[in-house]
Amino acid sequence: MDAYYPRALRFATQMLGDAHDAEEAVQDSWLRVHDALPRFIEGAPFDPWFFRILANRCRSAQVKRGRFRALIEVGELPADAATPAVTMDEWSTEVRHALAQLPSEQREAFLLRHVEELEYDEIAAATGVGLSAVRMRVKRACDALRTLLDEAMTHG
Amino acid sequence: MDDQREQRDETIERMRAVLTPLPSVAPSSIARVLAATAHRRPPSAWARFGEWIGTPSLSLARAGALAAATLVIGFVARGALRPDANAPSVTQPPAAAAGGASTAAATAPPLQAANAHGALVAVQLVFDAPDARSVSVVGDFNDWQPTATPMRRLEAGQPWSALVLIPPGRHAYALLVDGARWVADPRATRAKDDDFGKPQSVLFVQAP
Repeated sequence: MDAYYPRALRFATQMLGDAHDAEEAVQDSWLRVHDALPRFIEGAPFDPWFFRILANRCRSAQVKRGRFRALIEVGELPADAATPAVTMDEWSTEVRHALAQLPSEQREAFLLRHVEELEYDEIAAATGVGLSAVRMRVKRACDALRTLLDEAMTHG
Repeated sequence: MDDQREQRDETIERMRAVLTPLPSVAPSSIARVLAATAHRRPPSAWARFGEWIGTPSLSLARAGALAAATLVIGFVARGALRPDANAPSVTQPPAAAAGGASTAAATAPPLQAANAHGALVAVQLVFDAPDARSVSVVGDFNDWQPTATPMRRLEAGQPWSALVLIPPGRHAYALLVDGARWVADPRATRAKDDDFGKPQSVLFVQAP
């Protein structure tokens, strides 16, 4: 748990943009992991299985609260959206703004690939979508983030 | 197509620098989860999972300690370690690989012990990693606890070794170098079903 809890909290915070919601999602996910463990196929990679549960929980939280949409409308992130260990300099602020503007499925795919460093087939298993769709989501997320950040840093 | 090379340009790398640091976790958060799960019916695999991710549980370690005590009191008998048919001979001497933390393993003649749960077979594992600061054995026989079975060496540069007490059967294990790097035992059969994406080896221990 010491190894996975921080990763789970990082992913949930970046998916949901709210530290309190993230903590709740992570705690609930651990209970689901506990309950689902008998169905875990021994020998299978753990990351995709774990992140599937966590991502599902984050999706439910987003649907329930529509939190990121509200944040984008008001144009700023709450202070507790930041990962505590990260200094909130201008770049990190812009990164979090850009990430928040992605469609949820692109943000999810981007984080799983480039932050959690899952392989594409593992992301497919974690998200329940096909491999080509995963690749497309990651690519579109990267393209959108480059554009958003270029604009922000040019005009900011 | 190399997606990683294509997509991880400077912008993505700079983003990763912001997004990848792990947050600090309040101990009370983990305590809440543990308290909540403690009140649920514990699935049998949960204990093993809990060990693997660092939650203390001492059942097998305790069993191993009991067996070790029995071993010290006095028994020496012939056991049997049967490597997989495809594995190199376990009688090969350790061979230092070129450069850095080279690896090699061998087994000494196994011993056997008894505990409350039946016979345990003692297997000597030897691992050559001259640059390592610490090495431990993690496996299903010690619930994958990183600190349960430390390897020791007589002096710097000498091979690391550990005597492990294992019930008969098929076992998966790995060597944990410097508390962070999992390596498969280079002289044993590589497990096809690497748990959790980490390298593992397999050994078969015959009942005495």
